[in-house]
Amino acid sequence: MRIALESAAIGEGLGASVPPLSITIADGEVSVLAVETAERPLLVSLLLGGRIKPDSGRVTIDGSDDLDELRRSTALVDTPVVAEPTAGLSLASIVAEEFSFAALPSSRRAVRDFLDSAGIGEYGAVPVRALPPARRTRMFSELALLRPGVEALIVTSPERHGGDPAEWYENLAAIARRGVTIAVVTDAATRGILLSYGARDALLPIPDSLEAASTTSATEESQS
Amino acid sequence: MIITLVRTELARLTSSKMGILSLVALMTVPLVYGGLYLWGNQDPYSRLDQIPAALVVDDTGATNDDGEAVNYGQDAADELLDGMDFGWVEVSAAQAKAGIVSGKYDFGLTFPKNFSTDLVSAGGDDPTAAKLALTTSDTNSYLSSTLAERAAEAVRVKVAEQLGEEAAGTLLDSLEQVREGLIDAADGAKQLSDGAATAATGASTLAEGAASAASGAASLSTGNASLSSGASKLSSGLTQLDKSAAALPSATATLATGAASVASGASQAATGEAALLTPAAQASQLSAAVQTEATAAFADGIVTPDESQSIQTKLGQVAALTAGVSSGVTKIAPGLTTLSSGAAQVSAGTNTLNAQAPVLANAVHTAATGAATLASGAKSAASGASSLATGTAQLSTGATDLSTGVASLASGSSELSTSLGDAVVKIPGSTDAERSKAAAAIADPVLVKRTSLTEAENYGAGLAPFFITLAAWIGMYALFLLVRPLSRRALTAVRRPVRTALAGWLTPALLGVLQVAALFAIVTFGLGMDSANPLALLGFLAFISITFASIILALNVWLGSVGQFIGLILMVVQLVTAGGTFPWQTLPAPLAFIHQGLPMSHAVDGVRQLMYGGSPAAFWATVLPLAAWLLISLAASALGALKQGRFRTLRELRPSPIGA
Repeated sequence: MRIALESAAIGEGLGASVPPLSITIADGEVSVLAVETAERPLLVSLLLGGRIKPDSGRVTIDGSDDLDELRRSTALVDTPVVAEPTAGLSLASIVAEEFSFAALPSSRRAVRDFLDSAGIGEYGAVPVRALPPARRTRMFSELALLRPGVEALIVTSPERHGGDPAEWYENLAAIARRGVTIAVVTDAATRGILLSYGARDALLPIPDSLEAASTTSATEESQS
Repeated sequence: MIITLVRTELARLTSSKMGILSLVALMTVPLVYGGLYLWGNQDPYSRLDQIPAALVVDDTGATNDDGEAVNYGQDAADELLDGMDFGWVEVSAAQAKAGIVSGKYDFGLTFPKNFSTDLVSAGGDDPTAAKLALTTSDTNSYLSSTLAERAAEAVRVKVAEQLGEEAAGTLLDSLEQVREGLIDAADGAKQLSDGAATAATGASTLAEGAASAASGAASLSTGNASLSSGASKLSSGLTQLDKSAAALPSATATLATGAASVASGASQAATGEAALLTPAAQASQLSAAVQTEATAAFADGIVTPDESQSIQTKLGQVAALTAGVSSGVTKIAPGLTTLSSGAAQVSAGTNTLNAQAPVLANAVHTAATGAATLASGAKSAASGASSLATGTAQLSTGATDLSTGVASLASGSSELSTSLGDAVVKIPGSTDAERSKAAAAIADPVLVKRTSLTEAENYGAGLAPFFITLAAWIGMYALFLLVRPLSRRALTAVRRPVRTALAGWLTPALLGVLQVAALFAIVTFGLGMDSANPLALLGFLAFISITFASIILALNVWLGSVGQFIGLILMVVQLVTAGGTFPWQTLPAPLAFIHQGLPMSHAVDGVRQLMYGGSPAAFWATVLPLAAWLLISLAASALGALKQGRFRTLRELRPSPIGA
């Protein structure tokens, strides 16, 4: 599944909320893209998820304008304002909520089992803000994938929680290796770091010859 | 998902101490507002005696009709002081004025100098209205002025009632006397009417009789006139007769003489006739002898034929004459005989007549004299009868007029009698007790018999429906300052707009139900306001709250914080239009129109029905529009969730300048 912005913009001119942007998110890869200003991570994530209309340009999924399809197959992960959990809520209640989004039974037991299997059982009762960044990103990505039809994740500003990008990137790369399309919307510094770990630059067009996902092991690169 | 979302939202609201504190604070806003207000206004009318009011009695008193000294002002003031319905203090006019200006007294009531005098004057010929002076100052309290007006009005009514009763009593006594007089008059009129009726009958009979008399007199007059003219003719005839009869005796004597002469003449004629017969026979024989000789002479030729002829003719003539004489005599003979005997009889009769004629003449003379007397008498009678006829004609006319007049009199007096009778009936007969009762009724003719189908126990209970409902709205509005209308995470994560909207509604709805239940408890147990149907009321309050929740939710979903602000505006508008204090019909037309549509109006009505025990039909009539608001608002919220689930807008995403 490919997602592309073709000169997609919100607003126009110098004051545009999102100046024209052309990017591609490749299938089964972690594509990274840097945005500026406080608001743009949210807006660009929404554009990629088909959840806001561009004022100009196009948003496509596999070359089509079908934004309903784009919405169905994408999930916004930890996106400020629209998807991030209330910081003060307990992790368990957030997980329960995510389960209910995924139409799964959200009983305490199911939540506990999930947390235990993820190795973060002890965080269940504490506020979600206390969850370490790498675990947070991974957990929300996994929870989003539980929703039926979700094949692509748009992870917004994971760097805002601090922590070592290497850690959370590795988690994302692992998920991408399962065939999930991942876009990381972040800042310029983090982009540079992620590119060095082998993430794909979303600014690059996707060559038509590229059929399969890159099999370059990001892990190996990161350890070099 | 709904339950999870609600749980998450509640967890979010209570995730910090500050959050909990905020929630508790906001939850108690309506309780404090409604509870305090209703507590403060629970029963102000029972504490009117706390309102300081000045009472000034300048009334100098007066003397009433019975010669008693009265001072109505002082009496009324004493009654007010005893009544304790306000904090009355009796002071001088100057003190009262200063006190009202300074706020020491909320208002003042003054019985002026002429109060009693004016009141007493009501019974006299030149009544002047008594004045009661009320001094208020709205700076003290607008409502206390209103209450003061009520107090003054109560005093006015009481005094007016008391005096009105006295006046009405006097009036009724006079009226009773009038009634008695009328009864007498009616009786008299009845008699007059009866008499007039009899008189009318008599007059009618009299008129008829007079008419008969007139026609009789007219006939009599005509008869008498005939009689008079007859008698006068008789008299003149008899006079002529008398004149003729006077000559009668001499005439009869002449007649008798003539008749005797005739008789003797007739007898002589009879004798002469007999003597005639013989010469006639001799003449006949002589004639015959002549003829024979003549014939012989001719035959002898002595005489010529012509001479013979002439002789023959002449002889024939002689013969004829002779025969004539003979037959005449023969014919006369019996007549003469009769004449002779008749003449003898006539002579005898005329002798008798002659003997009687003087007697007849005397008698005729007497008759003529009598007839003259009769004629003059008849003339007198005729003129008398004519006078009588004229007189009786006048009499008849007069009698007819009299009859007509008396008939009018009879009908008039009958009408008079009837009218007087009616008048008597119209003035009710009464005993002293009845009159005093009637006087009381006249003085206070209208008693308001209050039938309360439902009743609020006091002022506070009267305001409660409005303030409870208002508190429910305020509470809901306050909740939405904390509660998130729609879960943004849910909108972003899944496309389940109905469930997302229901979850967004259920959270504040639950909290709202809690709010109104607490408010209900405060009002019922804390303030002791009983409601006719407490369980239904509690249920209805919950229904009101969840309806308000759906309305404010829809506003928030579609308009964000602008919608929340509109919720505040709506509260202000409904505060005005719900008709919680004054009946909504007193609103200006546009506001009255709005009243019909807005939910709080129906909510207040419904709470009233349940609190005071109204009709189920009226109650359900208030539920329907609220249910419509609820369902439409929920549908709107679901639509909003659907829309936002598809595409977000910058306006939704960016923090609002209002209540951010």
